[in-house]
Amino acid sequence: MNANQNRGVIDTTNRMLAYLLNKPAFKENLRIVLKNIDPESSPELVKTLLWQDIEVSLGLLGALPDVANSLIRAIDEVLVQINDKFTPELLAGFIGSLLDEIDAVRLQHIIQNLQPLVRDISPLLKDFLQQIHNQITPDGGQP
Amino acid sequence: MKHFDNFSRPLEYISPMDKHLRTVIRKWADEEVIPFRRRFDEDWKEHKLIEPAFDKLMGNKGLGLQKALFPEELGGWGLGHSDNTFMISYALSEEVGRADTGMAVAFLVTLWPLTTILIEPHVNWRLAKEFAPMFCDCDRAVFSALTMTEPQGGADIENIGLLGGKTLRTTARIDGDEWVINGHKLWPTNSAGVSRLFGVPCTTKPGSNDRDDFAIIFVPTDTKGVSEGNPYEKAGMAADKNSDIWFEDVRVPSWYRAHGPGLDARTFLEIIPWGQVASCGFLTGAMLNLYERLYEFVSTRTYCNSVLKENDAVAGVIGRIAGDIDICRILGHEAARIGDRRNMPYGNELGSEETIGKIRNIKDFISDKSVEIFGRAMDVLGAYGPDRNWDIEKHWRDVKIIQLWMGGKQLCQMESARYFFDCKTL
Repeated sequence: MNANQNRGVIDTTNRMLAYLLNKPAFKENLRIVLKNIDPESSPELVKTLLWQDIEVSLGLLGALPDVANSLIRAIDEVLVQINDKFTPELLAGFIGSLLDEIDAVRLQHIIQNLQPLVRDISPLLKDFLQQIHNQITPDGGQP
Repeated sequence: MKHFDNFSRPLEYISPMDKHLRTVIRKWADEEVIPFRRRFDEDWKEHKLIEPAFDKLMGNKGLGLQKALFPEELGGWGLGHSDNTFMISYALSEEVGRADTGMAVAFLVTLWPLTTILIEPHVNWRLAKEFAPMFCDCDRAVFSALTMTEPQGGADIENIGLLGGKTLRTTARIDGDEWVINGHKLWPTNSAGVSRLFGVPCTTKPGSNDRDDFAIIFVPTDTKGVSEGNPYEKAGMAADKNSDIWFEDVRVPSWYRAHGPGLDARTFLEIIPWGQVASCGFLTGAMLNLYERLYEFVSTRTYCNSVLKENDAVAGVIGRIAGDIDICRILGHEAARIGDRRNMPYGNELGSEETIGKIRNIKDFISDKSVEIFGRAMDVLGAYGPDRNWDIEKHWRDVKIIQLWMGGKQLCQMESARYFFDCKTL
């Protein structure tokens, strides 16, 4: 393969990672970071986010409808603009060309490979969900 | 090489939309034009075969490309305020030109006079609103024309850098709140009854070389006093009709002037790069099709029990042809980039001597190469060269016309010399 091919963002990331993962110092630092993930601290993080300044957290929460409505109106406007300015034939051709760029073979490959995985882990998931269900009392609290 | 798309381009400058836009236009070309184009020559007068293909390219029942330059508020695509307009125009020119350069010029010339009032920063909103419904709300193809050439002046009108409109004989005088236009024009693309709107370069003071006296006035073709002759019968480009046009006391509202004293001449100068870059696109589009057809020919015809392309003498010729196409395509895109750099700190104004000189030079070079390599391809095809079934002869006739228009070689060379050698009297 020509060495100058595929010099895009992913290829650059790949080459950077390959370089870094070949360096013992980088891997040691990564290991230290990974070993220091402390799940028990996450509730504290949430509490800080929520209560350090209640106005900020509730403000963010209160803005959710506006964020959602903004997205809804944006999508609606995109559709209005597209339908208004571009003819169906142009849109069909352009979107068809975009879809042609999607790697359908790989997508199908993923779905095929996912099926046995889902089949294998579904009993485990079922047991896990059953265990959670058994621990919940009829009034909704812990037994 | 896997495909003619692999001819070189500055890929760093190509928008991600380019490929998809080209796919749409190429599908139109492959379905609506290429299967029929061998019969276009006989359709030069009636356009019975040609019109439906135009409708599908330009009208709202098809791809709707005729509204591309108009602001989005008026139903267009707002291409007039894109920083990538030249590159998009180049892609359109090349894709349509690959199928038929006559169709390409008829389509792109429709947008040509409109560039004077729809391209930032010179948008004339009143005129944009006036003419938007004509182009944006129509299911069928609608054409316009830029009526430049006059019987006595030829390409003098385009040589505004030197002559400043001095030789123009089409006159406009103000009468109350109307312009009254008189004159005679020749050759405009989309004449002979094709257009609904003319952009008319004219003078408000005959004999003056003051750019303030140069005017571009829009004239709907159904205005009283406008008349057009029958289409000329030409060597090629049957999809582009050309004729005489006469203006006899034609009256239009005073605000139909593109801008006013000074700015009309400036926007007219800016028209030149648009026309030359589109011409480059038509030419490289035809060259891409030459490659397609030639590849098939030299890969299937044999000499001494070997396909033609494996013969040393033939390989020498076709290798040079492909190499020239490769170089011309790079140059054509550079011409488009020169246009799109107009808003960049390192770019130049569209109407500057540098922009016009460099773009005209590139167009002249590509034209010469195009005429040359189509001639060589005819040599390779031998007796098959004039055979319509190989499509080379059609492009061979058409590219010669492209070499000759917009002042031909001579004006290209003069504009080039004017910039590169600081000539003062050319």
